[in-house]
Amino acid sequence: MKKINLRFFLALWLGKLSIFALRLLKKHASHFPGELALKLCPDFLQRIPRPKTVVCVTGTNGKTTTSNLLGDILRANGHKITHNAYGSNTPTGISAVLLENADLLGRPRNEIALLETDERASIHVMPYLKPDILLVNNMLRDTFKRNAHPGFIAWIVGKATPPETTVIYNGDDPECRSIGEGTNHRLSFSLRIPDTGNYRPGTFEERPTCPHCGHELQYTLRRYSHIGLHHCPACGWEPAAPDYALTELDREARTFTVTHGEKEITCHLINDSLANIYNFTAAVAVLDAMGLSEAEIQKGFREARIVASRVKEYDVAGRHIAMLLTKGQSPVACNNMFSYVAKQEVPGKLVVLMLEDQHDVQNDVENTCWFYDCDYELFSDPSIEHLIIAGQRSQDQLLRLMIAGVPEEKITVLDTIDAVFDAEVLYRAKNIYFLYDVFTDGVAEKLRRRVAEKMQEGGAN
Amino acid sequence: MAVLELLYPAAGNLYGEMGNGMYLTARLPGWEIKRDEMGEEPFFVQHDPSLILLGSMTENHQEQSIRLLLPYRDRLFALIEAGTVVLATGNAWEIFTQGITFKNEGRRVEGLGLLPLETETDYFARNHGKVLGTTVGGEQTMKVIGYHARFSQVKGEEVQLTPWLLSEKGEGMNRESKVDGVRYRNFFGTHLLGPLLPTNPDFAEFLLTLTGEALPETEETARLLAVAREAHRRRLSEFEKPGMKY
Repeated sequence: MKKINLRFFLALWLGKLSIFALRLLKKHASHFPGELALKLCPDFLQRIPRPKTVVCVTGTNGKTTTSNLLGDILRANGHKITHNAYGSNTPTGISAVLLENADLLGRPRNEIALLETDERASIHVMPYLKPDILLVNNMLRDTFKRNAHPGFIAWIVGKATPPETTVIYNGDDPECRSIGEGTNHRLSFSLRIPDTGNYRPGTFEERPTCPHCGHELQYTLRRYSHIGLHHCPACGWEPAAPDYALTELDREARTFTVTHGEKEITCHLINDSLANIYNFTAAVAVLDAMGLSEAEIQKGFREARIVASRVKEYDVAGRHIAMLLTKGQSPVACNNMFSYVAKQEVPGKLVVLMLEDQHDVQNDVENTCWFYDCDYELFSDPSIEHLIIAGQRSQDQLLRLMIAGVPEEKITVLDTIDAVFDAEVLYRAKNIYFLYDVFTDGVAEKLRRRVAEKMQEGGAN
Repeated sequence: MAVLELLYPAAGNLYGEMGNGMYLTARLPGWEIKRDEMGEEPFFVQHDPSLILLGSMTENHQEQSIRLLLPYRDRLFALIEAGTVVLATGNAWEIFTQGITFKNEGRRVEGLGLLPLETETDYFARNHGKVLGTTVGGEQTMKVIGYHARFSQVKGEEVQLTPWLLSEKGEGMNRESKVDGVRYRNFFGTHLLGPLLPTNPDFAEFLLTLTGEALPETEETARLLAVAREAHRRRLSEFEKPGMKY
């Protein structure tokens, strides 16, 4: 850590003042104060005294869910924590939350800092804050404009991780295996239960190769994307036995058990989606590594809030509408939602794809490469009676769907999302799935309300 | 029988790179599709494929691919000299240069050496964007649009080579160049990413005619081509909009 200097104090005090001013204006103070602090003192994170314990949570998916869960559990056990739960996970957001929770001399008020950390930005955070524990949830294919490929992100996170940090990583993810290898104390977690039945494999799957001989890895159980139990059929390489293994999952009793050596920790199962089962296992590993007792962890899981779902469901005038938040340009997130739709065992499914990037629509031409990383083949399932593609890139998606083997007569192509409202086929369906991008959230919700109103009025019946 | 060979698809599948193979599979009913697994002898070693595709990969996979292909380099080069059509997209074509220098690690890996060019990879100098250009390395010139995403720059004696694409907007093989890629006989190397063929269906048709194979003409393939051309037309008009950033 660098010494505190006048510039640091200026950044700290003006940052704090900006928090006060923003609150008076009833605005969020989760980003700007950090931005201001870093502008005034670019090495602010190198100078601010670190809390006694720093835990960083990174990875492609599940960072927010897992860190919020960890925060809830720590608070439930009486810990006061500094946590960027409502702020950004980049250096500005992390600076903002740290300065907010520091006194006027910059000393931390709380002993624990729990920091959701953007994986791409970890290189600008972790070398300075030197986390005691780093949780790496997964390294999945994400929007490549920003994140290139998982191997690159794993390299960045590896470079950013100080040697004194204990790395807790997903042992079922071959892309995580290199982080801290040979330099750090490492603990892995893994699901060691039969198939949870959450994932329906499509035609496109990640095909990682052996780190030693380059042969394609073989999966004895692929849970989703490249996550699962794997080994190399050529040279025999396989990941080491997990330090934390989820060994029991009882959906009826709503419990799960994580085994760590002789220890068996059974907790309340808050939510049973596969992604959350991984998040819960990771959380137990972190809490145990932090020194919480079995009883404290169990208490935390009993009291933790229900994890928000990316699926919202509505029954409207005898029809079922599901709104699926689908992160466009992020293939794994898309494939999980595509898979969700395909596996629903209901008749007469109609899918509305509204996945275009609203920012690109206004300012750019959306890169279409990601369509070919996504498993549109799942929409060729006969249970899907019709698809509506809406938005500027609908012609590109039509091509992708035809390549995927979806008959053209099952596809309605619309140039705008607004036009969906007038699509008669929508009102004939019994089970409707709206897949919308993060930045289309408001537009999608408005459309759903209008469609629901029209359905209730008996429109287009 | 006409054969499309997908060389190491387990590695060369980044950034939508499977798109080329997917599109050609739909465009070419009746063609045999061969997938080469890493660590196994590639199909081209014992046979004459009609077209070989190799796509973007991680930098580790570049090294692995070079290592795995070295024993078969002479055979691969002989096929290229004889006119076999090869398309290497994204950073895949860099393995055909003289070598790849990994700047962050201070080391250089020997390439397959088909092209008198050098590649430099710097993880802290990533660049990605759009490209609009005209093909110059072929019997037929046409507008091509696409995307690139990489950590690398390719440099060398461009004058010795026939470029593939002259970029009107967007970056070439390095930051100073407006030339992207290379055409050598029927070998095409370009930094444009894998859905290059569905994104540019007329270039795909041109490439297929070079194979000399009969191309299936059915109602379905005609419709596929029509949809691909319409998508291309729309996207091209957006690419050409004044003020579009590249």
